[in-house]
Amino acid sequence: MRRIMIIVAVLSLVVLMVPAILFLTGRMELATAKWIMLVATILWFAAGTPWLWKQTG
Amino acid sequence: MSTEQQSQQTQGGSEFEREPVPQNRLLGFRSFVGMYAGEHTAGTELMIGPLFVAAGVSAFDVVVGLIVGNLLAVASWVVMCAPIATRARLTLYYQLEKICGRQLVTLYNLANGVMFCFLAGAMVTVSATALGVWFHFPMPALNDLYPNSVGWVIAVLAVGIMISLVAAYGYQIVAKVANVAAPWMVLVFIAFGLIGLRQFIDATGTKVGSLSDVWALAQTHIWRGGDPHLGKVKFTFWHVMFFAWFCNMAMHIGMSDLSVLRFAKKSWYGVASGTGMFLGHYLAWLAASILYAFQLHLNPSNTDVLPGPLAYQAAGLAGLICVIIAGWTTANPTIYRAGLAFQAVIPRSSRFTVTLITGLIATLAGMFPAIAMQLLEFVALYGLILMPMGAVIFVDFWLIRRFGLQSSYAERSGTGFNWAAGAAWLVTLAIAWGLVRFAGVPIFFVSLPGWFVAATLYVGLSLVYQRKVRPVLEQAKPGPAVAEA
Repeated sequence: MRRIMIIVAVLSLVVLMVPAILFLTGRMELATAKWIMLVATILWFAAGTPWLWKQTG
Repeated sequence: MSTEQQSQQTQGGSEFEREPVPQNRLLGFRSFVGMYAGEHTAGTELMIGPLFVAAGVSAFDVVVGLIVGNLLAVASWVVMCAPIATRARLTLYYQLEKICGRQLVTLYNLANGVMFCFLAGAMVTVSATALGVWFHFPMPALNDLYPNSVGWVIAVLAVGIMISLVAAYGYQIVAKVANVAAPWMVLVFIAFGLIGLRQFIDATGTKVGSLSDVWALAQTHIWRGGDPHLGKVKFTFWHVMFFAWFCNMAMHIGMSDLSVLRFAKKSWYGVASGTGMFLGHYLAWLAASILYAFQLHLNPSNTDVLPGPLAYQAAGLAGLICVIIAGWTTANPTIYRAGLAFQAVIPRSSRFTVTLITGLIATLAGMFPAIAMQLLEFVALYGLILMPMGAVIFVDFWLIRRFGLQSSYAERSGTGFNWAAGAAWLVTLAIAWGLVRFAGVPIFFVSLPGWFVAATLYVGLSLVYQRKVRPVLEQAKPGPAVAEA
């Protein structure tokens, strides 16, 4: 379970950056990019919190 | 456990407050990399970047000035702070107490606490601008000094009270949230820059086929140079370089980070500060300044520096969350530290009450946009005020014995107020104030000569002081000890 959480958290950071890069290269609309970044943010806090919370405890 | 948490525990009085950190509690390099990256990617970066643009900075000056200034800042951590931290392994406060005496340290704590309060106030201001996007109340303009609407006051009050309560009740939880948020926050800041860059390309119709095209865009549209906005100081290469070098002067040359780096196994771990400098004080500042420059490009009359709306137009709700969390997670430890500094002044007061009152003072300060809108000057002042004590520590640790004098003189003489250190501090500040007030020297430039003034004064005054105030052990031989002359 912990390994899955870590993978999801790391992937969410990748997903967070991809829309900004695609928008920069003109391959995505800003509105779409904003929604994907919000989803990535939710995923990061959902998966990253249990992982990093324990690590910093 | 992160170094920051350990540092907080130490300041809270639970471990190694008055003894060197033992070998088995030292931390590896990675602990410092994460801590510095998180600590220096804060809500206030979203104010500082735009303020560079408002100061009429040019592309070369900001891009190269920040590289040089940040390298000098990292060098200051490595050369000035870390070697003392890893040799003495004491907190800043205990190291200072041995040199200056308890009463002078109390005065230092008071100054430190007041500056932390105002800094936290600016962070509350940043978070409150995010609420303005949702509730549409009038927000402060670039040159506003006072709160300009009831909605603004209520927003700052709401954010400030929440931050103060959390700081008073459970600092550790916020420290954990900050650690979780740090990697995400850094990437959101980078995304701000990428999105802002594309918006500029579209708005100007620039054809970008190479890096030189991007550089041309930066020079002609983003950091155009020219006159600063009304009421702002014009920033040149030197302003940017010295600002980047000295904006954390309190921590490196001022030695605040002795409390953190005393946990480092090696003194070169000071290079970990480079993550904070080049993620937070380079990428984040440049990204935030791109967003503000784009706002000006769309509407040159809209000079408001409001991180909430800036972040929202670039990254939507993710951007707004970033502003709130960046302000919250950095305001919290700042209020906590200010509370600890004040608690040291009034030792019998409860930490909860002091932190809560401190938070409310910071909230009150946050209502006045003058601090956030003049953040460049405030940060320079903050470093300047605490810098002379860093010079005193440096001289006391490395040089003073070469002049036939003794180090840690307050401890040896039993005095509560080492006048040589106290006068070095206050006279340096008076000279710096005179240079700024009467000679028209910008505040960003007085800290460097100020360090040499403080160091020289401390040595010179100690030559007189140590002759008058004899060490307790020395006095004990002929008769009863009288510590103070």
